[in-house]
Amino acid sequence: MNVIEINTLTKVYPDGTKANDRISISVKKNEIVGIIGPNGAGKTTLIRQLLGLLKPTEGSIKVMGKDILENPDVIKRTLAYVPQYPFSFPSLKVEEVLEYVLRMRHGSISREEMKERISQVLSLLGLDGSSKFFGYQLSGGMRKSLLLAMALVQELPVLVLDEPTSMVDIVTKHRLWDVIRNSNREGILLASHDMNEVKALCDRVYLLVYGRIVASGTPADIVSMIKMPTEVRLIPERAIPPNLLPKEHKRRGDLYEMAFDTLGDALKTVEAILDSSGIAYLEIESPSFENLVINLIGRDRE
Amino acid sequence: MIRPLIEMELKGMRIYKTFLLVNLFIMPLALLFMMIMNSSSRTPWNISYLVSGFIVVSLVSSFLGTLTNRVSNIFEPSVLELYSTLPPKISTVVLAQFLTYSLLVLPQVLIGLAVVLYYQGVSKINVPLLVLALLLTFLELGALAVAIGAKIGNPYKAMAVTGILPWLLVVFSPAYYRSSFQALYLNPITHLLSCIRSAVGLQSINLISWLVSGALTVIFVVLALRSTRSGYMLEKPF
Repeated sequence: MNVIEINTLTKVYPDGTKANDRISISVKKNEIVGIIGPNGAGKTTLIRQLLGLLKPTEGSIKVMGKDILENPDVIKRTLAYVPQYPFSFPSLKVEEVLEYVLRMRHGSISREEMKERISQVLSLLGLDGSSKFFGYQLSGGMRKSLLLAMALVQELPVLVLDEPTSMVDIVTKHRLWDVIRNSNREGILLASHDMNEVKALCDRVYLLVYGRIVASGTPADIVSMIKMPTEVRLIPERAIPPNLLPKEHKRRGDLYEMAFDTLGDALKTVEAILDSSGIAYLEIESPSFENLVINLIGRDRE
Repeated sequence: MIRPLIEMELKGMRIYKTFLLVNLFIMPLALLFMMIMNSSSRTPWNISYLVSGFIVVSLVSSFLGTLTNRVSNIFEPSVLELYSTLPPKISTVVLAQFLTYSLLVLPQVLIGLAVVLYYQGVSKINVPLLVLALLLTFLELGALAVAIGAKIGNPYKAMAVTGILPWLLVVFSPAYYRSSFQALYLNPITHLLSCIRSAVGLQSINLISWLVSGALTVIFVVLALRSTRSGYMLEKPF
Protein backbone atom coordinates (compact mmCIF):
# COMPACT_ATOMS: atom_id res chain seq x y z
CA MET A 1 0.00 0.00 0.00
CA ASN A 2 1.32 3.41 -0.98
CA VAL A 3 1.18 6.17 1.60
CA ILE A 4 -0.15 8.60 -1.01
CA GLU A 5 -1.46 7.48 -4.36
CA ILE A 6 -2.70 9.98 -6.91
CA ASN A 7 -4.14 8.44 -10.06
CA THR A 8 -4.83 10.27 -13.34
CA LEU A 9 -5.87 13.37 -11.44
CA THR A 10 -7.36 16.12 -13.57
CA LYS A 11 -8.61 19.44 -12.33
CA VAL A 12 -10.47 21.83 -14.61
CA TYR A 13 -11.63 25.12 -13.08
CA PRO A 14 -15.07 26.47 -13.99
CA ASP A 15 -13.42 29.01 -16.33
CA GLY A 16 -11.99 26.08 -18.34
CA THR A 17 -8.42 26.31 -17.05
CA LYS A 18 -6.91 22.83 -16.83
CA ALA A 19 -4.61 23.15 -13.81
CA ASN A 20 -3.80 19.42 -13.46
CA ASP A 21 -3.86 17.05 -16.42
CA ARG A 22 -3.91 13.30 -15.69
CA ILE A 23 -1.33 13.47 -12.92
CA SER A 24 -0.24 10.23 -11.29
CA ILE A 25 2.03 10.39 -8.27
CA SER A 26 2.80 7.82 -5.61
CA VAL A 27 4.60 8.11 -2.30
CA LYS A 28 5.76 4.73 -1.07
CA LYS A 29 6.41 3.83 2.55
CA ASN A 30 9.41 5.66 4.06
CA GLU A 31 9.84 7.70 0.92
CA ILE A 32 10.28 11.44 0.42
CA VAL A 33 8.82 12.51 -2.90
CA GLY A 34 9.26 15.94 -4.41
CA ILE A 35 7.16 17.92 -6.86
CA ILE A 36 9.00 20.68 -8.65
CA GLY A 37 7.76 23.10 -11.22
CA PRO A 38 7.58 26.77 -12.10
CA ASN A 39 4.84 29.13 -10.91
CA GLY A 40 1.50 28.19 -12.45
CA ALA A 41 2.56 24.57 -12.95
CA GLY A 42 -0.35 23.31 -10.86
CA LYS A 43 1.43 22.41 -7.59
CA THR A 44 -0.93 24.41 -5.39
CA THR A 45 -4.01 22.99 -7.14
CA LEU A 46 -2.63 19.50 -6.60
CA ILE A 47 -1.97 20.11 -2.89
CA ARG A 48 -5.39 21.70 -2.37
CA GLN A 49 -7.05 18.62 -3.85
CA LEU A 50 -4.93 16.44 -1.58
CA LEU A 51 -6.08 18.55 1.40
CA GLY A 52 -9.74 18.18 0.37
CA LEU A 53 -10.19 21.87 -0.40
CA LEU A 54 -10.74 21.37 -4.14
CA LYS A 55 -12.74 18.62 -5.79
CA PRO A 56 -10.91 16.68 -8.51
CA THR A 57 -12.61 16.80 -11.91
CA GLU A 58 -11.34 13.29 -12.67
CA GLY A 59 -9.06 10.77 -11.03
CA SER A 60 -8.57 9.71 -7.46
CA ILE A 61 -6.43 10.44 -4.42
CA LYS A 62 -5.75 7.80 -1.81
CA VAL A 63 -4.05 8.47 1.52
CA MET A 64 -2.96 5.42 3.53
CA GLY A 65 -5.01 3.30 1.13
CA LYS A 66 -8.24 5.26 1.61
CA ASP A 67 -9.90 7.33 -1.08
CA ILE A 68 -10.24 10.88 0.26
CA LEU A 69 -13.49 11.47 -1.63
CA GLU A 70 -15.11 8.52 0.13
CA ASN A 71 -13.26 9.02 3.44
CA PRO A 72 -12.58 12.75 3.83
CA ASP A 73 -11.77 12.21 7.54
CA VAL A 74 -8.56 10.42 6.58
CA ILE A 75 -7.00 13.81 5.79
CA LYS A 76 -7.35 15.17 9.31
CA ARG A 77 -6.44 11.83 10.87
CA THR A 78 -3.24 11.10 8.96
CA LEU A 79 -1.88 14.21 7.25
CA ALA A 80 0.18 16.98 8.78
CA TYR A 81 0.70 19.99 6.53
CA VAL A 82 3.24 22.80 6.43
CA PRO A 83 1.92 25.69 4.36
CA GLN A 84 4.01 27.84 2.09
CA TYR A 85 2.99 31.20 3.57
CA PRO A 86 4.88 31.88 6.83
CA PHE A 87 1.96 33.14 8.85
CA SER A 88 1.86 33.17 12.60
CA PHE A 89 -0.57 33.63 15.43
CA PRO A 90 0.61 37.14 16.38
CA SER A 91 -0.72 37.19 19.91
CA LEU A 92 0.11 33.62 20.91
CA LYS A 93 3.45 32.46 22.26
CA VAL A 94 5.31 29.72 20.40
CA GLU A 95 4.70 27.17 23.18
CA GLU A 96 1.01 28.14 23.38
CA VAL A 97 0.48 27.47 19.67
CA LEU A 98 1.92 23.96 20.06
CA GLU A 99 -0.06 23.43 23.25
CA TYR A 100 -3.34 24.26 21.48
CA VAL A 101 -2.46 22.03 18.53
CA LEU A 102 -1.81 19.15 20.94
CA ARG A 103 -4.96 19.83 22.95
CA MET A 104 -7.02 19.84 19.76
CA ARG A 105 -5.35 16.64 18.53
CA HIS A 106 -5.29 14.74 21.85
CA GLY A 107 -7.93 16.21 24.17
CA SER A 108 -6.88 14.02 27.10
CA ILE A 109 -3.11 14.53 26.90
CA SER A 110 -1.50 15.16 30.29
CA ARG A 111 0.26 18.46 30.98
CA GLU A 112 3.58 16.65 31.57
CA GLU A 113 3.41 14.75 28.30
CA MET A 114 2.42 17.90 26.46
CA LYS A 115 5.38 19.82 27.90
CA GLU A 116 7.72 16.96 27.07
CA ARG A 117 6.59 16.75 23.45
CA ILE A 118 6.66 20.52 22.96
CA SER A 119 10.12 20.76 24.48
CA GLN A 120 11.41 17.96 22.22
CA VAL A 121 10.11 19.46 19.02
CA LEU A 122 11.26 22.98 19.93
CA SER A 123 14.72 21.71 20.70
CA LEU A 124 14.82 19.77 17.43
CA LEU A 125 14.00 22.91 15.46
CA GLY A 126 16.23 25.24 17.46
CA LEU A 127 13.27 27.14 18.84
CA ASP A 128 13.84 26.26 22.51
CA GLY A 129 15.08 29.77 23.23
CA SER A 130 12.03 31.29 21.55
CA SER A 131 9.27 29.35 23.29
CA LYS A 132 8.04 32.48 25.08
CA PHE A 133 8.15 34.66 21.95
CA PHE A 134 4.86 35.97 20.61
CA GLY A 135 4.06 35.25 16.97
CA TYR A 136 4.58 38.87 15.96
CA GLN A 137 8.14 38.72 17.34
CA LEU A 138 9.19 35.82 15.13
CA SER A 139 11.37 36.17 12.04
CA GLY A 140 10.32 34.56 8.75
CA GLY A 141 12.59 31.58 9.41
CA MET A 142 11.24 31.12 12.93
CA ARG A 143 7.67 31.22 11.62
CA LYS A 144 8.47 28.51 9.10
CA SER A 145 10.13 26.48 11.85
CA LEU A 146 7.05 26.90 14.03
CA LEU A 147 4.77 25.71 11.22
CA LEU A 148 6.97 22.63 10.85
CA ALA A 149 6.88 22.18 14.64
CA MET A 150 3.06 22.29 14.52
CA ALA A 151 3.11 19.52 11.94
CA LEU A 152 5.70 17.38 13.74
CA VAL A 153 4.30 17.66 17.26
CA GLN A 154 1.10 15.91 16.15
CA GLU A 155 3.13 12.78 15.23
CA LEU A 156 0.98 11.91 12.22
CA PRO A 157 2.18 9.36 9.65
CA VAL A 158 2.14 11.55 6.53
CA LEU A 159 3.76 14.93 6.05
CA VAL A 160 2.88 17.31 3.21
CA LEU A 161 5.21 20.27 2.82
CA ASP A 162 4.69 23.24 0.54
CA GLU A 163 8.00 25.06 0.11
CA PRO A 164 8.99 24.46 3.72
CA THR A 165 12.20 26.47 3.58
CA SER A 166 11.29 29.39 1.32
CA MET A 167 12.25 32.74 2.91
CA VAL A 168 14.54 30.93 5.35
CA ASP A 169 18.24 31.65 5.95
CA ILE A 170 20.78 29.02 4.91
CA VAL A 171 21.59 27.82 8.45
CA THR A 172 17.92 27.36 9.37
CA LYS A 173 17.32 25.76 5.97
CA HIS A 174 19.91 23.05 6.63
CA ARG A 175 18.51 22.49 10.12
CA LEU A 176 14.99 22.09 8.71
CA TRP A 177 16.27 19.71 6.05
CA ASP A 178 17.89 17.55 8.77
CA VAL A 179 14.67 17.56 10.78
CA ILE A 180 12.55 16.63 7.74
CA ARG A 181 15.00 13.91 6.65
CA ASN A 182 15.05 12.36 10.15
CA SER A 183 11.39 12.82 10.96
CA ASN A 184 10.59 9.11 10.51
CA ARG A 185 7.25 9.64 8.82
CA GLU A 186 5.65 6.91 6.75
CA GLY A 187 5.75 9.21 3.76
CA ILE A 188 6.54 12.80 2.85
CA LEU A 189 5.33 14.78 -0.14
CA LEU A 190 7.27 17.98 -0.75
CA ALA A 191 6.44 20.73 -3.24
CA SER A 192 9.30 23.10 -3.81
CA HIS A 193 10.92 25.65 -6.08
CA ASP A 194 14.30 24.99 -4.49
CA MET A 195 16.13 22.44 -6.61
CA ASN A 196 18.83 22.00 -3.98
CA GLU A 197 16.15 21.18 -1.43
CA VAL A 198 14.56 18.57 -3.66
CA LYS A 199 17.98 17.10 -4.47
CA ALA A 200 18.97 17.04 -0.79
CA LEU A 201 15.76 15.51 0.53
CA CYS A 202 13.88 13.55 -2.08
CA ASP A 203 14.14 9.92 -3.07
CA ARG A 204 12.07 10.61 -6.17
CA VAL A 205 11.05 13.74 -8.00
CA TYR A 206 8.15 14.66 -10.30
CA LEU A 207 8.60 17.62 -12.59
CA LEU A 208 5.32 19.42 -13.20
CA VAL A 209 4.90 21.86 -16.09
CA TYR A 210 1.61 23.38 -17.26
CA GLY A 211 -0.31 20.90 -15.13
CA ARG A 212 1.39 17.81 -16.57
CA ILE A 213 4.20 15.62 -15.29
CA VAL A 214 6.97 15.94 -17.85
CA ALA A 215 9.64 13.94 -16.03
CA SER A 216 9.98 11.75 -12.97
CA GLY A 217 12.58 9.63 -11.27
CA THR A 218 15.38 10.04 -8.80
CA PRO A 219 17.27 13.35 -8.95
CA ALA A 220 20.05 11.34 -10.64
CA ASP A 221 17.59 10.00 -13.24
CA ILE A 222 16.55 13.52 -14.08
CA VAL A 223 20.19 14.63 -14.40
CA SER A 224 20.78 11.82 -16.90
CA MET A 225 17.82 12.82 -19.07
CA ILE A 226 19.62 15.58 -20.88
CA LYS A 227 23.27 15.78 -21.78
CA MET A 228 24.54 19.03 -20.42
CA PRO A 229 27.75 20.68 -21.60
CA THR A 230 30.50 20.81 -18.98
CA GLU A 231 33.28 23.33 -18.72
CA VAL A 232 36.67 22.54 -17.17
CA ARG A 233 39.38 25.02 -16.20
CA LEU A 234 42.68 23.64 -15.02
CA ILE A 235 46.36 24.43 -14.55
CA PRO A 236 48.56 21.34 -15.12
CA GLU A 237 51.79 20.75 -13.21
CA ARG A 238 53.52 19.79 -16.45
CA ALA A 239 52.72 20.28 -20.16
CA ILE A 240 49.63 18.38 -21.36
CA PRO A 241 50.18 15.99 -24.31
CA PRO A 242 48.19 17.50 -27.27
CA ASN A 243 46.31 14.24 -27.92
CA LEU A 244 44.58 14.54 -24.52
CA LEU A 245 43.13 17.96 -25.22
CA PRO A 246 39.58 18.17 -26.64
CA LYS A 247 38.78 20.01 -29.86
CA GLU A 248 37.27 22.92 -27.99
CA HIS A 249 39.91 24.35 -25.74
CA LYS A 250 41.70 27.63 -25.08
CA ARG A 251 44.93 28.38 -23.33
CA ARG A 252 45.54 31.55 -21.32
CA GLY A 253 49.04 31.35 -19.93
CA ASP A 254 49.11 28.25 -17.77
CA LEU A 255 45.29 28.02 -17.59
CA TYR A 256 43.47 25.63 -19.94
CA GLU A 257 39.76 26.14 -20.62
CA MET A 258 38.03 23.10 -22.10
CA ALA A 259 34.45 22.39 -23.13
CA PHE A 260 32.83 18.92 -23.25
CA ASP A 261 29.44 17.64 -24.35
CA THR A 262 28.89 15.61 -21.19
CA LEU A 263 30.17 15.45 -17.64
CA GLY A 264 31.39 11.90 -18.30
CA ASP A 265 33.67 13.01 -21.16
CA ALA A 266 35.01 15.84 -19.01
CA LEU A 267 35.88 13.52 -16.10
CA LYS A 268 37.63 11.02 -18.37
CA THR A 269 39.84 13.77 -19.81
CA VAL A 270 40.59 15.24 -16.37
CA GLU A 271 41.63 11.79 -15.13
CA ALA A 272 43.93 11.29 -18.13
CA ILE A 273 45.51 14.73 -17.60
CA LEU A 274 46.00 13.98 -13.89
CA ASP A 275 47.84 10.75 -14.73
CA SER A 276 50.04 12.25 -17.41
CA SER A 277 50.69 15.83 -16.29
CA GLY A 278 49.35 16.28 -12.76
CA ILE A 279 46.88 19.06 -11.86
CA ALA A 280 47.76 22.18 -9.83
CA TYR A 281 44.34 23.84 -10.10
CA LEU A 282 40.96 22.45 -11.19
CA GLU A 283 37.54 23.98 -11.67
CA ILE A 284 34.62 22.00 -13.12
CA GLU A 285 31.32 23.61 -13.96
CA SER A 286 29.19 20.53 -14.09
CA PRO A 287 25.52 20.52 -15.04
CA SER A 288 23.54 21.85 -12.10
CA PHE A 289 20.23 20.25 -11.20
CA GLU A 290 18.67 23.68 -11.51
CA ASN A 291 19.91 24.13 -15.08
CA LEU A 292 18.70 20.69 -15.99
CA VAL A 293 15.23 21.39 -14.74
CA ILE A 294 15.17 24.72 -16.57
CA ASN A 295 16.20 22.89 -19.74
CA LEU A 296 13.53 20.25 -19.25
CA ILE A 297 10.89 22.91 -18.70
CA GLY A 298 12.10 24.80 -21.75
CA ARG A 299 12.08 21.64 -23.84
CA ASP A 300 8.55 20.84 -22.76
CA ARG A 301 7.28 24.36 -23.50
CA GLU A 302 8.70 24.12 -27.02
CA MET B 1 -12.68 20.98 21.02
CA ILE B 2 -14.63 24.23 21.49
CA ARG B 3 -12.92 25.16 24.76
CA PRO B 4 -9.32 25.31 23.48
CA LEU B 5 -10.54 27.21 20.44
CA ILE B 6 -12.29 29.83 22.58
CA GLU B 7 -9.24 30.08 24.85
CA MET B 8 -7.04 30.47 21.78
CA GLU B 9 -9.29 33.22 20.40
CA LEU B 10 -9.31 35.06 23.73
CA LYS B 11 -5.54 34.75 24.16
CA GLY B 12 -5.17 35.89 20.59
CA MET B 13 -6.70 39.22 21.62
CA ARG B 14 -3.99 40.02 24.15
CA ILE B 15 -2.12 42.43 21.92
CA TYR B 16 -5.34 44.27 21.05
CA LYS B 17 -6.46 44.57 24.68
CA THR B 18 -6.38 48.39 24.79
CA PHE B 19 -8.24 48.62 21.49
CA LEU B 20 -10.83 46.12 22.72
CA LEU B 21 -11.18 47.83 26.09
CA VAL B 22 -11.88 51.15 24.39
CA ASN B 23 -14.21 49.76 21.72
CA LEU B 24 -16.10 47.18 23.72
CA PHE B 25 -16.33 48.95 27.08
CA ILE B 26 -15.19 52.54 27.36
CA MET B 27 -16.87 53.98 24.25
CA PRO B 28 -20.22 52.17 24.60
CA LEU B 29 -20.37 52.83 28.32
CA ALA B 30 -19.50 56.49 27.77
CA LEU B 31 -22.49 56.71 25.44
CA LEU B 32 -24.66 55.02 28.03
CA PHE B 33 -23.32 57.40 30.68
CA MET B 34 -24.35 60.40 28.57
CA MET B 35 -27.85 58.98 28.11
CA ILE B 36 -28.24 58.51 31.84
CA MET B 37 -26.84 61.97 32.60
CA ASN B 38 -29.50 63.37 30.29
CA SER B 39 -32.25 61.57 32.20
CA SER B 40 -33.41 64.66 34.12
CA SER B 41 -34.76 66.18 30.91
CA ARG B 42 -36.36 62.93 29.74
CA THR B 43 -38.98 60.50 30.99
CA PRO B 44 -37.98 56.99 32.13
CA TRP B 45 -39.72 55.64 29.01
CA ASN B 46 -37.51 57.87 26.82
CA ILE B 47 -34.34 56.74 28.57
CA SER B 48 -35.35 53.08 28.27
CA TYR B 49 -36.14 53.59 24.59
CA LEU B 50 -32.66 55.04 23.95
CA VAL B 51 -30.91 52.37 26.03
CA SER B 52 -32.75 49.55 24.24
CA GLY B 53 -31.48 51.13 21.03
CA PHE B 54 -28.01 51.23 22.56
CA ILE B 55 -28.15 47.46 23.23
CA VAL B 56 -28.87 46.66 19.60
CA VAL B 57 -26.40 49.27 18.28
CA SER B 58 -23.67 47.74 20.49
CA LEU B 59 -24.36 44.34 18.99
CA VAL B 60 -24.45 45.64 15.43
CA SER B 61 -21.27 47.71 15.68
CA SER B 62 -19.11 45.50 17.92
CA PHE B 63 -20.38 41.97 17.40
CA LEU B 64 -21.31 42.00 13.72
CA GLY B 65 -18.19 43.91 12.65
CA THR B 66 -15.62 41.98 14.68
CA LEU B 67 -17.08 38.57 13.93
CA THR B 68 -17.24 39.32 10.18
CA ASN B 69 -13.56 40.30 10.20
CA ARG B 70 -12.47 37.22 12.14
CA VAL B 71 -14.49 34.82 10.00
CA SER B 72 -13.14 36.38 6.81
CA ASN B 73 -9.64 35.70 8.16
CA ILE B 74 -10.46 32.03 8.72
CA PHE B 75 -11.74 31.75 5.15
CA GLU B 76 -8.51 33.02 3.61
CA PRO B 77 -7.13 30.22 1.39
CA SER B 78 -3.85 29.91 3.34
CA VAL B 79 -5.69 29.64 6.69
CA LEU B 80 -8.12 27.10 5.25
CA GLU B 81 -5.11 25.10 4.06
CA LEU B 82 -3.66 25.10 7.58
CA TYR B 83 -6.94 24.10 9.23
CA SER B 84 -7.60 21.40 6.61
CA THR B 85 -5.27 19.02 8.45
CA LEU B 86 -5.78 20.32 12.02
CA PRO B 87 -8.40 18.46 14.09
CA PRO B 88 -11.21 21.05 14.34
CA LYS B 89 -13.63 21.45 11.46
CA ILE B 90 -14.02 24.96 10.08
CA SER B 91 -17.62 25.00 11.35
CA THR B 92 -16.29 24.34 14.89
CA VAL B 93 -13.70 27.12 14.58
CA VAL B 94 -16.42 29.54 13.45
CA LEU B 95 -18.76 28.42 16.24
CA ALA B 96 -15.96 29.08 18.75
CA GLN B 97 -15.52 32.58 17.31
CA PHE B 98 -19.28 33.20 17.51
CA LEU B 99 -19.30 32.17 21.18
CA THR B 100 -16.16 34.17 21.99
CA TYR B 101 -17.48 37.44 20.56
CA SER B 102 -20.93 36.82 22.06
CA LEU B 103 -19.24 36.57 25.46
CA LEU B 104 -17.27 39.74 24.83
CA VAL B 105 -20.31 41.89 23.99
CA LEU B 106 -22.45 40.37 26.71
CA PRO B 107 -21.35 42.89 29.42
CA GLN B 108 -22.56 45.85 27.32
CA VAL B 109 -25.88 44.12 26.76
CA LEU B 110 -26.29 43.21 30.43
CA ILE B 111 -25.40 46.71 31.64
CA GLY B 112 -27.88 48.17 29.14
CA LEU B 113 -30.57 45.77 30.33
CA ALA B 114 -29.87 46.66 33.95
CA VAL B 115 -30.45 50.34 33.12
CA VAL B 116 -33.71 49.50 31.28
CA LEU B 117 -34.79 47.38 34.22
CA TYR B 118 -34.06 50.27 36.59
CA TYR B 119 -36.14 52.76 34.61
CA GLN B 120 -38.92 50.42 33.45
CA GLY B 121 -39.33 48.35 36.58
CA VAL B 122 -39.36 44.55 36.80
CA SER B 123 -43.09 44.27 36.22
CA LYS B 124 -42.92 45.55 32.66
CA ILE B 125 -40.24 43.08 31.55
CA ASN B 126 -41.41 39.88 29.86
CA VAL B 127 -38.38 37.72 30.68
CA PRO B 128 -39.04 34.74 28.33
CA LEU B 129 -39.78 37.12 25.46
CA LEU B 130 -36.64 39.14 26.27
CA VAL B 131 -34.48 36.00 26.28
CA LEU B 132 -36.01 34.99 22.94
CA ALA B 133 -35.47 38.47 21.48
CA LEU B 134 -31.83 38.54 22.58
CA LEU B 135 -31.28 35.01 21.28
CA LEU B 136 -32.77 36.00 17.92
CA THR B 137 -30.60 39.14 17.83
CA PHE B 138 -27.37 37.24 18.60
CA LEU B 139 -28.22 34.46 16.15
CA GLU B 140 -29.36 36.72 13.32
CA LEU B 141 -26.40 39.09 13.55
CA GLY B 142 -23.91 36.26 14.20
CA ALA B 143 -25.14 34.21 11.26
CA LEU B 144 -25.11 37.30 9.03
CA ALA B 145 -21.51 37.99 10.10
CA VAL B 146 -20.48 34.40 9.34
CA ALA B 147 -22.20 34.39 5.94
CA ILE B 148 -20.59 37.71 4.93
CA GLY B 149 -17.15 36.84 6.36
CA ALA B 150 -17.11 33.43 4.65
CA LYS B 151 -18.21 34.93 1.34
CA ILE B 152 -15.54 37.66 1.41
CA GLY B 153 -12.70 35.45 2.72
CA ASN B 154 -10.30 38.35 3.05
CA PRO B 155 -10.06 40.51 6.20
CA TYR B 156 -8.88 43.57 4.26
CA LYS B 157 -11.90 43.50 1.98
CA ALA B 158 -14.09 42.67 4.98
CA MET B 159 -12.93 45.84 6.73
CA ALA B 160 -14.50 47.91 3.96
CA VAL B 161 -17.82 46.13 4.49
CA THR B 162 -17.69 46.26 8.28
CA GLY B 163 -16.84 49.94 8.11
CA ILE B 164 -20.04 50.85 6.27
CA LEU B 165 -22.58 48.09 6.97
CA PRO B 166 -23.12 48.64 10.74
CA TRP B 167 -23.28 52.36 10.15
CA LEU B 168 -26.03 51.95 7.52
CA LEU B 169 -27.93 49.46 9.65
CA VAL B 170 -27.87 51.78 12.66
CA VAL B 171 -28.60 55.08 10.90
CA PHE B 172 -31.59 53.68 8.99
CA SER B 173 -33.20 52.12 12.04
CA PRO B 174 -35.15 53.76 14.87
CA ALA B 175 -32.43 52.95 17.40
CA TYR B 176 -31.91 56.49 18.71
CA TYR B 177 -34.94 58.24 17.22
CA ARG B 178 -38.63 57.56 16.75
CA SER B 179 -40.12 57.16 13.32
CA SER B 180 -42.98 55.34 11.68
CA PHE B 181 -41.47 55.70 8.20
CA GLN B 182 -42.35 52.44 6.43
CA ALA B 183 -39.03 52.13 4.54
CA LEU B 184 -37.22 51.59 7.86
CA TYR B 185 -38.95 48.20 8.02
CA LEU B 186 -36.75 47.05 5.15
CA ASN B 187 -33.91 47.10 7.68
CA PRO B 188 -33.68 43.90 9.79
CA ILE B 189 -32.41 45.96 12.74
CA THR B 190 -35.76 47.78 12.91
CA HIS B 191 -37.47 44.44 13.49
CA LEU B 192 -34.93 43.33 16.10
CA LEU B 193 -35.42 46.64 17.94
CA SER B 194 -39.16 46.07 17.83
CA CYS B 195 -38.75 42.57 19.33
CA ILE B 196 -36.53 43.78 22.18
CA ARG B 197 -38.68 46.83 22.91
CA SER B 198 -41.83 44.75 23.03
CA ALA B 199 -40.10 42.39 25.48
CA VAL B 200 -39.19 45.24 27.85
CA GLY B 201 -42.64 46.87 27.67
CA LEU B 202 -41.71 49.84 25.50
CA GLN B 203 -44.19 48.94 22.77
CA SER B 204 -46.85 46.39 22.03
CA ILE B 205 -45.90 43.07 20.46
CA ASN B 206 -45.52 43.42 16.72
CA LEU B 207 -46.07 39.96 15.27
CA ILE B 208 -44.70 40.92 11.87
CA SER B 209 -41.38 41.97 13.39
CA TRP B 210 -41.11 38.67 15.26
CA LEU B 211 -41.92 36.71 12.11
CA VAL B 212 -39.51 38.71 9.95
CA SER B 213 -36.72 38.37 12.53
CA GLY B 214 -37.38 34.66 12.87
CA ALA B 215 -37.40 34.14 9.11
CA LEU B 216 -34.23 36.21 8.59
CA THR B 217 -32.49 34.29 11.36
CA VAL B 218 -33.34 31.00 9.68
CA ILE B 219 -32.14 32.29 6.28
CA PHE B 220 -28.86 33.67 7.66
CA VAL B 221 -28.22 30.52 9.71
CA VAL B 222 -28.79 28.35 6.61
CA LEU B 223 -26.40 30.55 4.60
CA ALA B 224 -23.80 30.44 7.38
CA LEU B 225 -24.09 26.65 7.70
CA ARG B 226 -23.78 26.20 3.94
CA SER B 227 -20.59 28.27 3.91
CA THR B 228 -18.98 26.55 6.88
CA ARG B 229 -19.97 22.98 6.10
CA SER B 230 -19.09 22.91 2.43
CA GLY B 231 -16.61 20.09 1.74
CA TYR B 232 -14.54 21.86 -0.91
CA MET B 233 -14.09 25.35 0.47
CA LEU B 234 -11.86 26.70 -2.25
CA GLU B 235 -14.06 25.34 -5.01
CA LYS B 236 -14.97 28.57 -6.74
CA PRO B 237 -13.99 30.24 -10.01
CA PHE B 238 -10.59 31.94 -9.91
